[in-house]
Amino acid sequence: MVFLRVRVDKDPFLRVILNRTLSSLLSLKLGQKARVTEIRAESHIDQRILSLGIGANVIIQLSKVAPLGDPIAIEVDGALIMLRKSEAQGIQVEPI
Amino acid sequence: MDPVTPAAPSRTLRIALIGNPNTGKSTLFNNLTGLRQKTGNYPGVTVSRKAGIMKLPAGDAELIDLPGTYSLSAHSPDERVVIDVLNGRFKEIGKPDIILFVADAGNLRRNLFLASQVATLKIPMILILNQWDSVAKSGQQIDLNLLKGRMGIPVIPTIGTKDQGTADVKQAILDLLDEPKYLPEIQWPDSMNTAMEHLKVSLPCVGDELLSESETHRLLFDTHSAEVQRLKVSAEEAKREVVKAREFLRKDGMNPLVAEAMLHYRHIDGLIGGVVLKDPDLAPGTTESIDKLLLHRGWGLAAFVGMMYVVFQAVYSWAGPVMDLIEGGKVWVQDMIGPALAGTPMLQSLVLDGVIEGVGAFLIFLPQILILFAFISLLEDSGYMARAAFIMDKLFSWCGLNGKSFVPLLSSYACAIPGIMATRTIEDPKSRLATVFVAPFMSCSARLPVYILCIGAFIEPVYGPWWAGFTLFMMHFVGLAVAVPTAWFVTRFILKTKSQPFVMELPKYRAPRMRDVGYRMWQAGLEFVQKAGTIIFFITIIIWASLYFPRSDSQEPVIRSEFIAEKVADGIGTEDAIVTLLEDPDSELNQEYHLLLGSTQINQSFMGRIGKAVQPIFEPAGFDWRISVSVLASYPAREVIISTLGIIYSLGGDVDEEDGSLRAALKNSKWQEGERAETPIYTVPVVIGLMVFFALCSQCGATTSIIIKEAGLRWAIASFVYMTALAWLGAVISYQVGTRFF
Repeated sequence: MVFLRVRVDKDPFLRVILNRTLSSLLSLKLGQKARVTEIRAESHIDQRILSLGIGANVIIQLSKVAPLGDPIAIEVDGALIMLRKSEAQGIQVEPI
Repeated sequence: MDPVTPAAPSRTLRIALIGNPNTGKSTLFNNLTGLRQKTGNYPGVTVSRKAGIMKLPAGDAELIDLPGTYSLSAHSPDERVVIDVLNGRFKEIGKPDIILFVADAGNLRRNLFLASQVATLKIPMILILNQWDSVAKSGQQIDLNLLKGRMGIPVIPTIGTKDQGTADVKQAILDLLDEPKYLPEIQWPDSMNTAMEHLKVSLPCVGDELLSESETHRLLFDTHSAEVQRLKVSAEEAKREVVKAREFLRKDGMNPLVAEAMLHYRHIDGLIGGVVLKDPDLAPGTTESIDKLLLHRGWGLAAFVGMMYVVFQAVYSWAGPVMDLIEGGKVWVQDMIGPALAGTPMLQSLVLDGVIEGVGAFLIFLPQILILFAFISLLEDSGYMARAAFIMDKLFSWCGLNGKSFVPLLSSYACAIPGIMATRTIEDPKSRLATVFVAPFMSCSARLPVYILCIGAFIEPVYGPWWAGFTLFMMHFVGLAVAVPTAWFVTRFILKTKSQPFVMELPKYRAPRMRDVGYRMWQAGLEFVQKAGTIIFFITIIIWASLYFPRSDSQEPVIRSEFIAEKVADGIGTEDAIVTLLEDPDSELNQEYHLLLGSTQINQSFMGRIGKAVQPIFEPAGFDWRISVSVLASYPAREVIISTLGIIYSLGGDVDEEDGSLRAALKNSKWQEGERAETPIYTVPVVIGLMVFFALCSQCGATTSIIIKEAGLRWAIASFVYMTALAWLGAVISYQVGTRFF
């Protein structure tokens, strides 16, 4: 992993991609809490996520993963909201 | 009723019920309207429409129950239904006078997002805080007086499942009629006003009606707004102007796609700041404990399988005794009425085999529909349905369906009628249509008699029970194997509207209320009988006529003398003895003669003639004219093939699939002419082809009727043609490939 980091750091383009994957909601462990840093609103799906109150600075928790691995459920403001992994990708977080 | 006055009569008050999914909206709707409800679809889209009559001291009001939604944003005509109703775009519904906004009191902030969007419509509003009991349970406190002051509209706490607060809602409606009150609207920044002004000026609407403010918001904020279809200009031009308008927001430092949510939530936070108090150290609630089990990797899956097994068993087996009762009742009525009409054979046949048979043909589905809807109501109201979708979604998402397709498809293995009706639980219209389209491929219980007849007569005696079991299993699998790629194809290439994201709440568990379960069953049953029942009835009458006409009575003397001559030749007795026997209604000879008459009638009826005429089409599948006629006669209901074969082979219509004489007749059936003369008709490839045909074909008038009702005539025709073509292809492939090996 360290080796990978060093090499990636030299490539600004790859660094952006790696940072993005590392900070995505999907990188959280089950039960882990995080603060939303950004929703990359690019599609109507991201728009839906925003309308559910999942926006910048909101605290979320990855609380369930379906038995077959997808979708996932996150806890926001006391409510459990399910979304597919493909739909969760745009949610950028910072673990707390 | 008020007496008619010369002045224009004041029209009925229209009230719209709107809110997020899982807020207990339907329960409130039941409380406010009772049984005075009607359901259907919105014109032109596959979205369920529900309305009811609410009794108020000032007269009756119409209550429109809008589909549950989290936002007004609309990327397809289906999603646009809510905003269309609110703007009075459906001429026959009209713009609502009052909005009842139902919020889940336990989750006020998120629920108010939609309310804040709706406020831009400037319709008087009442805020209902439903599931009020969940506030304390989730360790929250709501300062009601503070909230009322900030909202400026009536705020009513209710507990729908206990019928608490219903009277308060009605009173608030009356108060609002005297003095309209509106939710405080969001204060948009200047850049927003400039952007809106730009759109209003540059994009004229079709029919010179202006887009309302809320509709213009959709144009501005949604990535692919469905409002574009209302504009006079092309989609490209609209897009250019929208991009220009969004530039105003960008210059102001806002991302246009994030701006709407950000601004509305800022507005809401201002309105409810200090209203909701939360206890930070609350112990995990009941929902969380139940979910530990029901969403567990191992136990959760086991519980799911167990529950679905019960649902399937209920629809498949428990309905049996009631269906037998309906069947028995039908026969009893036929026996009672039959003798009275004996003097007029045609009327007798019309009443017995047409009318009573037709009524029985749709009543027979009622037990399964009622049982399934009882379970659906229990699953939805308890909050488990969303979890079932959560567990199953992975299996369905890749072919364009979603986790909510599971229950409808599973039920379709018992019967496609309740299964297709159950697709109404799927919110995404695209997934719903695809599920409706593939549901009839699931091997329903009516296909079983055909499989048992064919396997019992031709597979089991030759290849043994193992292959018999394997064949039966494969027959149940064929439909599924075709359905999956069909769903994939339909959602990818036919239904081109954007999929709705499968983002939804897993609601808190609640005890379902039996009254709501009862309403749901009543509604489903009533609707089926009213809408699909009439179509099924008429199909049965048409089929009756095509089997009854033209009559073979004129040929009867010829048939009779030939029959007598044949019996004399067989050495059964003298001509006189046989004539005497024929006149004795209880003699075997008399019965044999009447079976022969039945067989002759079906041969020369319209149905028989058409069957013989289409036999060349079935030639590549190795079907003779008898199979062709039976297949054709089975289009209204596939299980009819057994009795049709019975009549054709002069065994009578009462044979069943276990009947030894029918199996023997099929085995002994041989080609009469051509190069195959004297070889058996029913070879293994023909039998497999016949079963594949039945597995894939759309042979159910009731299913076609329910597709017309749920998805429209075009989809019903598409389904019929597609399934029939596939069935033919499947039978031909089975026969052509099979004859190379057997």
